[in-house]
Amino acid sequence: MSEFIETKGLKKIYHVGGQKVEALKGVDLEIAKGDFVVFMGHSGSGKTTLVSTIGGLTRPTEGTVLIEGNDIWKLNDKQLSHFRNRKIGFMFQSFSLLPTLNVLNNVVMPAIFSTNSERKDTEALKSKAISLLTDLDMKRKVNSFPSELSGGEQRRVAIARALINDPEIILADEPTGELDIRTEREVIDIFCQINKTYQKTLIVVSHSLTWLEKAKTIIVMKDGLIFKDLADPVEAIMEGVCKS
Amino acid sequence: MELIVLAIKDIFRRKGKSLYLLIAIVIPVAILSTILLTFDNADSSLSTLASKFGFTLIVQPKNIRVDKISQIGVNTQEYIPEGVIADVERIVRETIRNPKDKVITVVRFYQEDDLLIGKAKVSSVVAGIDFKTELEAKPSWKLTSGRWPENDQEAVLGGSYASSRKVSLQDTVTLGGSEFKVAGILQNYNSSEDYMVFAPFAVIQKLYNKSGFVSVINIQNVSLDKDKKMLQTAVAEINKNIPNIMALSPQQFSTMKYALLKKSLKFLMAIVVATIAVSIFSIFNIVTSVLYSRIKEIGLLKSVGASRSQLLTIFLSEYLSIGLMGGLIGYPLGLIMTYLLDSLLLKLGAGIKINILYVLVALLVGVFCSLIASFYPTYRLSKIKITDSFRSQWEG
Repeated sequence: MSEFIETKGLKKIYHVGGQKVEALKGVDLEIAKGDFVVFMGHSGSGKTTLVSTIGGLTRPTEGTVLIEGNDIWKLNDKQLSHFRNRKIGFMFQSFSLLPTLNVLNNVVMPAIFSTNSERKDTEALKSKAISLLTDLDMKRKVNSFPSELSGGEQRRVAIARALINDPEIILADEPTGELDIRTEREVIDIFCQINKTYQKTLIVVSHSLTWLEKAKTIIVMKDGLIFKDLADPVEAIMEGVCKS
Repeated sequence: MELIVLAIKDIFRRKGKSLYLLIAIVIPVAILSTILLTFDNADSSLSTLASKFGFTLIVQPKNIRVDKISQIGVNTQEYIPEGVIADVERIVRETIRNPKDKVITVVRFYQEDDLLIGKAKVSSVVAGIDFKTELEAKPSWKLTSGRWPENDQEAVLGGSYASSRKVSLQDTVTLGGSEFKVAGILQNYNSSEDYMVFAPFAVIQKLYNKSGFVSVINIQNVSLDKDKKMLQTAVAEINKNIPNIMALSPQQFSTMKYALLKKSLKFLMAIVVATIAVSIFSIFNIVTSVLYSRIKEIGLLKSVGASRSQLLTIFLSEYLSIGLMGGLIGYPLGLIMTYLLDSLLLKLGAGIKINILYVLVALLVGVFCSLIASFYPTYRLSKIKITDSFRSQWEG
């Protein structure tokens, strides 16, 4: 696996109530293309900040984020939007779908922000969306609205949406939070399949032990720094950074 | 799916808030449309009135104040001495220099008073006229029923007046203690005459102790009608030589009346401006509250690649659409309000016509209110950081 994502001396300082909070204290990290990385750590350890900085969501106070050798934080607002649109597929714990749009339109939604003319071919887009939804066993729900879906179904739609623009990186922040064990396993299996079938680089933030069984790389964060790489789930439990 | 589709879906999703926004836009648009249409009607009504009269030249007291004009648009409080009539006729004859050219002089005396119909008191405008001369000047004047008065105790009622007050032929009405029998009902001409009571000139003058005074002198002459330059000379000569009166051509008469109305336009426009300001403030508050509730949605849109300009396009399209809808609803509402205002109060009777220019004005005002009020909150929202939006913090 070749180098794909690299951070150098990444720092992020938040100003909360007049006080400085150092969320990242100079993180150096390398992620290879096609990797399946799970970030773990206590709340406030900086994992979400690190992932959102890599995804072009949070501007770092210091340091660089290189994707394929390009510093994404040197891009202007429009270029950064374009980068998010083309290179990254996002999944969040909650509010992943627009309540006004049905499943199909939620999936094709990122494409309307794309500048690529091919992605505006409505019929081709719809076919692709239906194909993704079929892969995720959601074809029967294409015309349903988010309020009519279960938590697991909503996650599947969010996964389909994350894949619609064929991004190289999928970033997911607590994608299985608030799900029962069975549904969580289903979603994690889908992620594994995406990693295997579509060769996407997966970066996941989670507290759940179930991810440890499937991830290729586990990174534990502590106090804004990478604490250690843990390959052994039991060690992770011992460190108290994930749910048993 | 396009950006505009997202915007329209959001309008329907937030029906309640969209309705509030719509109302905040419709109100100023409807008020503005009502004022514009009413003034338009007033203008065309006055022009119609002047042309229908068929008079070449109108002489009235100088400096008539707006507050002295009656509800139906005639002067009932300022008068001209009768001695002026001869001077006016002399100047007209000297101007046309053709003794064979007929000059018809029609004088009227207007008084506003309570008319007793049965036991009910009704505020009315009474016109003292010489029926014979009036008919000579206006052969098109027709009665819908009855006949013209044959004695001093008979009157004719305007068509709208008779129908709205439910007065019929042979009914008796009491004016200043004197009784008048209704001899005829005048046809409607969509003018202030539709709302008047006509009685013999000398009787009305005497009844109100104004013998020797008239309210208006109307001159009809073919030569002056044909030669506008000659008409302007006559007007100028009368104004120059006779004090305290104002001679006008029908066109000038209409313009002057309109100028009087325009004075009140300033006040009404101030109301419109105030309404627009309140509307913009209300829209601003509603939009801010709506956008605040949509912060997470903004974060989601940004995270999937929406740029600031695309977000502005989505939200401003949404408010632009509501603004256009406000204009489209506000204008017909203004038409209805204009009709009701005219029917119940102003009695201009010019009829309601759709004016394309005012439709455009209504749309522009709707869009203006909507965009001005929504731009700043939308602009701020488009700048929100994605991570902040997911924490529901409003930091801009």
